[in-house]
Amino acid sequence: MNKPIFVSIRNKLILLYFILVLTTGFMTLISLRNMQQIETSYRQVTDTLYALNDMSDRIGLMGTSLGSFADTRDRNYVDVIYNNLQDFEDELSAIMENPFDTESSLYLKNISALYYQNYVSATENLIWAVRATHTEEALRSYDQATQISDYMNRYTERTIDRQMALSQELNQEIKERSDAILKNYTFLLIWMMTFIGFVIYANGGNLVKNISKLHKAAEEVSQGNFDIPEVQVESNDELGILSQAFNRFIGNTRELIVRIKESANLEIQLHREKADRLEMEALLKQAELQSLQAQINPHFLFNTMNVIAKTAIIEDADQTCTLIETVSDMFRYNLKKMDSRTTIGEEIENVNNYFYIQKTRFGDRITYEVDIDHELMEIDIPNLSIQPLIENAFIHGIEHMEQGGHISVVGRFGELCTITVKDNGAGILESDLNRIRRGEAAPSAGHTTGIGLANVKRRLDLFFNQTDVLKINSEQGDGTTIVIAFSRPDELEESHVSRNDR
Amino acid sequence: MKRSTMIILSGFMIILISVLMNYQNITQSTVNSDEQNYTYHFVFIGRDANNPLWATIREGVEDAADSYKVAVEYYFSNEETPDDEIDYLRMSVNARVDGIVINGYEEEAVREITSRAWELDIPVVFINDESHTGVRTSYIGVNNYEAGRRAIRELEKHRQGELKIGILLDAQKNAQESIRFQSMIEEIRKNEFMEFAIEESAKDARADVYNAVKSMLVDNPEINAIIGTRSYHGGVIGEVLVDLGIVGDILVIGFDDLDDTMRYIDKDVIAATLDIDTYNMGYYSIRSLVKYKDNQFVDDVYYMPIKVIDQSNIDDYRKEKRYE
Repeated sequence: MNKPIFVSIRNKLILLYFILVLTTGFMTLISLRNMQQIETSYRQVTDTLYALNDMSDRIGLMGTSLGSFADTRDRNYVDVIYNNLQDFEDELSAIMENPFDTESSLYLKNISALYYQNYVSATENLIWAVRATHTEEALRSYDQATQISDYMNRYTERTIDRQMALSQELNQEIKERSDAILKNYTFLLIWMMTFIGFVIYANGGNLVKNISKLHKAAEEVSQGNFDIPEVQVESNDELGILSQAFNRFIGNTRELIVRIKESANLEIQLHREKADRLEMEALLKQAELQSLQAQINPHFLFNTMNVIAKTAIIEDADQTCTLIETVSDMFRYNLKKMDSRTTIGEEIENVNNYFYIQKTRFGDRITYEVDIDHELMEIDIPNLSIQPLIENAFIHGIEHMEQGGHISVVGRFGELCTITVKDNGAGILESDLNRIRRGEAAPSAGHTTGIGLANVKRRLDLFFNQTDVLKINSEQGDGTTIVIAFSRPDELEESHVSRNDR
Repeated sequence: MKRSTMIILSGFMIILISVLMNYQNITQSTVNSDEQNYTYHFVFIGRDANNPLWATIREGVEDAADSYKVAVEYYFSNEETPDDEIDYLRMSVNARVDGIVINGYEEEAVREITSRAWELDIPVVFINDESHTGVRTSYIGVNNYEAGRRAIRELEKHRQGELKIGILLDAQKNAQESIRFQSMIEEIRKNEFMEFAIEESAKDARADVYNAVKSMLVDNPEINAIIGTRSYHGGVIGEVLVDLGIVGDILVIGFDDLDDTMRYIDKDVIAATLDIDTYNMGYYSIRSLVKYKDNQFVDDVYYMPIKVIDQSNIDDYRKEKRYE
């Protein structure tokens, strides 16, 4: 389909307006002109009739004056006769200036010929004969003049008859023309009605249809629904352009919305990650703080411990020396930055130190075993994430037992790596368990590091970007099992790296 | 815009424009301003405008006036006042018109007026009837002597036995009719199978003619042939024959080609009619005047050829009538 030429609604209306105005105007002008023309003709005929009548009277007057002159021989009548002749000539020439039909003009020509070639000479003859008292000649001339004026009268009458007949024709014509005008106006009316009807049908219908299409689409859009089909408007006026623009607008908006949604998603994700990181940092800070609280002047403490260890060696108290060194190592480990990562191996080393100290303290009341697959040893793990579990087992499970307390730490490598800390102690209270699961910090702390289970759980979740890395299973009086389970380290490593890159 | 829409719209426009154009034509009417250019001004003085014969003559005159571009002033008297014609002739001569066409008269007044016309170099053409008293430029019409003879010869052609002939004449029998009648009598005498029975005159009115024909037939039952000498006689005779129920018993010869006469020929009531070309009579009268004014040779007498119309040629005649 080739592109239609643009015709604006305004131009269409102007064109329609011109057609209507021109036709009515044209028709009116023709009709007026028509009536004017016939009116002129009619007036002409009436004027001519009056003039002819006057001329007929004049012919009578001429005859009378001739008769009077012949009877009385009064010379004054000569003037009257000549005046009459002059008047007649004027009247005749005035009449003959009018346009006539052939027949009337022939009669007038005859009158003129009769007058100039017969009547004038007869009149002059008469005047001469009367003056010369030539009675016989005077009578003959008078008879001749009378006869000629009779002929002139007859031609005048015929002309009048003819003009009357013409006025009759004109009457008929006026009637015909009025009928024609009426007929034509009726036609024009019907024509206009059908024409406008057609124009509205052919154009206006489209106009309204197109507007309502646009309107419907706009309504949808106003309710926020941009997912609408294209508005199909086939029109070469503003509506066509409007609909094209509308379609473009909808299309663009739709695209824009998609893009905005994408970037919003992205932002939400970024926000979440940022929040995660902030939380992690906060937890670390908290852990760090608590750890710092526990270190009352560590240098002094370590120095003191070193002095104590040296003193123990001097006094041959080797066991004391070892104990003190172990404690010192443990504290030093604990002093490491909380947010730095460590390996499971190092963490287990720390656990061993802890056990050694506790063993010294509790003696035979407790036994413990540590069994870690060697593949696990190099895997990264948050600092202080296993030792607190052991500590927890001591505090809540074993501490109050007279004997037979047992703690095992088992690490297994596989699809899912697990580190299980199990004790056979008193178990954790249901309320505490729920609190820990919800991730709330403990109200009191008897820990070396001050780091509670909730803190550990949260850090592990964040570190592995998983939920429920730490699972606690505890039965009252039947011990507690805490399992750290995470995906294999290579995946773990990857996800870790990619997260840090973002 | 769609193609069909365009077509319909242009249809609308065409209708509108054609109606408006048509309307404009109506306005092109002229009364009193159609005076044409003409070379000569002739006067045609005819008798009884309603008479078909004169109507036909007028048609010929009008067409000739058109083709020769002359103006013709028409005057028609009626049968009752034939003096009018002479009066009008005098008026026209006094008005110094360029030429006059008039039915011929054998009257002293005509001689006087036509002499004056001759002096003023106004040509006068007599038509239809000859005028031997008038001074004429030309006579265009029927050869009455020949016409009378032809009528009898037609009787001879159609007769089946001896004929007793009645002749219907006009009450105002003029010289021309006399000649016609005379030639008929002469021709009848020459024929041993024919006998002149009676002449009946009737005024120029249908009722008079009807009565005349009826009384002729009733009073003279031996008559078996009638000649009607005037144009309308044929129709009336046919009517009487039909009314009396004696169609076929009487042999009828008419004059002129009026519709009544032609119809009776169709139905074999009238045997034949003699006709001259009246249309061309009118036409030639104007032609003669123009020729005279243009100083060309003009025939003194122009006899229109006499045609016989009977059942054998009536259809052909109708077809080629006029404008030959």
